[in-house]
Amino acid sequence: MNAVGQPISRVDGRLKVTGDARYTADIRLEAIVHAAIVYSTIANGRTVSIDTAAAENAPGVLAVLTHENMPRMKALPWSHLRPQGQTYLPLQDDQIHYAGQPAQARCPDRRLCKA
Amino acid sequence: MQKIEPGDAEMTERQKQDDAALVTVNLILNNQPRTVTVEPRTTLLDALREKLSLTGTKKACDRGECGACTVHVEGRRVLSCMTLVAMHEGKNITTIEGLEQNGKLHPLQSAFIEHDGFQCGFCTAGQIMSGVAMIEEAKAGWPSAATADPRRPFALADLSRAEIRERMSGNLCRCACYPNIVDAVAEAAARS
Amino acid sequence: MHPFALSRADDPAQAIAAHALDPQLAFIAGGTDLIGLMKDHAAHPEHLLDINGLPNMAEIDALPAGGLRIGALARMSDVAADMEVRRRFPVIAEALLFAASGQLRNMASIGGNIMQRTRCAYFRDETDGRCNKRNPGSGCAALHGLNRNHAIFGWSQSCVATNPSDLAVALAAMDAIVIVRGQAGERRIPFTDFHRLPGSTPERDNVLGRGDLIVAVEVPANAEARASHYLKVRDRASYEFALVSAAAAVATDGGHIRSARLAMGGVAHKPWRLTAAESGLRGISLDDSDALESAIAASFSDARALAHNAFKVELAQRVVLRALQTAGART
Repeated sequence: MNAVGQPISRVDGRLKVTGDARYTADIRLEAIVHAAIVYSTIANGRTVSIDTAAAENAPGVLAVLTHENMPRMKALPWSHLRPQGQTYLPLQDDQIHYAGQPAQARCPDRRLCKA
Repeated sequence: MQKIEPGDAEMTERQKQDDAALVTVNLILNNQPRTVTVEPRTTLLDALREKLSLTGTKKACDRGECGACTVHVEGRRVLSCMTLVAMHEGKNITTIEGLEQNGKLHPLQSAFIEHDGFQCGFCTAGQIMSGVAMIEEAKAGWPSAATADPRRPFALADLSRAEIRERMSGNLCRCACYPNIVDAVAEAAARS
Repeated sequence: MHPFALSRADDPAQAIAAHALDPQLAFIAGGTDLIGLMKDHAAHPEHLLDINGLPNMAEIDALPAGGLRIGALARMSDVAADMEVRRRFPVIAEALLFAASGQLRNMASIGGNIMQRTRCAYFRDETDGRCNKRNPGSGCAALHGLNRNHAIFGWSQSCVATNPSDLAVALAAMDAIVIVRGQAGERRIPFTDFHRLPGSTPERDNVLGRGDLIVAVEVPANAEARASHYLKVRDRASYEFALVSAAAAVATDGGHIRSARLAMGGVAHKPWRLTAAESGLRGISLDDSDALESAIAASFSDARALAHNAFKVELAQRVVLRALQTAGART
């Protein structure tokens, strides 16, 4: 109880003021690849077709993921990451629910991102 | 779906050409000579974080609107996301990692801890780099938009809280630690 | 950003020749607008020419006759901190200080500042294709769209964008001169002729062509400069572009205006000189608010508001009045 009423420095203080605190994007992993997301420009609708040929043939692209080839995700009954009753998961079907919804993920060569 | 293995990307002719377009840049980074070889379009921020493994400088907006990427070039505060590393051949670059000297924190770093000038800490490196340079600008007599009459000389003693807020306005803090940040900068300025 | 080649220019003649020869080449100085444009995919030069090493282009010279010559590569912060700029032309120092942020002012050049492109969201956002400035002939999304930040003067059916530079407003009020070197040699462009109205060719912001390099801005001495002020009004208190802004300068005689210079930002595709107001203000007392307001109003009879920016017409007049009164207090 000695700490009550005392000015105590944060335990992470030194880490944060020196740049040593590590955030998600600061973590380096071997063989990491990066994804560029393509977003829907319409707010409501259905993806009729996606032509990924040009993207797939662009230099350094490993893969282009759409709802057609994305692995199936297991829908959890509850998640604190989305509102109650919403079943939407990204890149699983052709439905567009909001402007800015991810429609594609393109993975370029990790070589471009290597330290 | 095809499993992605590292190294699967084919070396196309275009990629070989891209390699030929790389530039080599020599920097003096936190007083150490360093060299990077990058595409010309690489920002100073991306070079620091990705090539030089100095992740203390943060990428937040990546478009010159938040100040989280602030570093010093020749002692002057700049936004590293809005400049190309290849344009700084031979220059002195200081990042947050370079402020500490022999294990001793810079007075502004200590002041930030003392005055609790951060919560999540993501803007903190940019705030501190900006604040350190800002104090030097005030010492050099630079006025600001908060200076009632810029026709007159300006001195460090004129650095009010309103002046600090205006001079630090290029650094956003989503956690809203602004009052504590101003306290920290005011203390470090008074001590300098 | 798209991939591009980068090289450095050693001398102006070389830079001019390279720019004239290659339409895909762009100069880069501070880069604070160009890099943003490239990140927004609103500019796609294939070759960037770094002009920061060009000699003798960053000086700030106080001229013997009382004016200034500011090198195009001088940084905004250095010009704003210069004591002669602050004493002789406070409106210029203030226009610079009210712009951007400390970091950006350290990076940005004077030449680049007056070249900066509009902040119109439709111009800078590639997801809406209708922008005649970016894609000539594609239409103007702002004309009947969200145009709160757009023009009230000089706009056309092709484009309603505004010029975002604060410095340009001050330089227009001061009748500065842009010194440009091109393939045919050096020429002097009066500042009020430097930026264009959009007309049917909004893709062209200014009168420069290929091979043109801004080397300096000259500000001649004038009777009103010493008592001048820049006032910028915006949604936030700092670090934001203007809703409207005013550069005001005045020469007085016993509290009455002998002559005035007024220019506005945030209202048109170029800084907007209020020539009718300037004439009408002669002889008016700085204490006579009603007379000042009437004189100012004369420059607003041709204001044409858009659906979302009618407030600018009233706001602009109030901003001019306050700027004028602050400038007047500096005599």
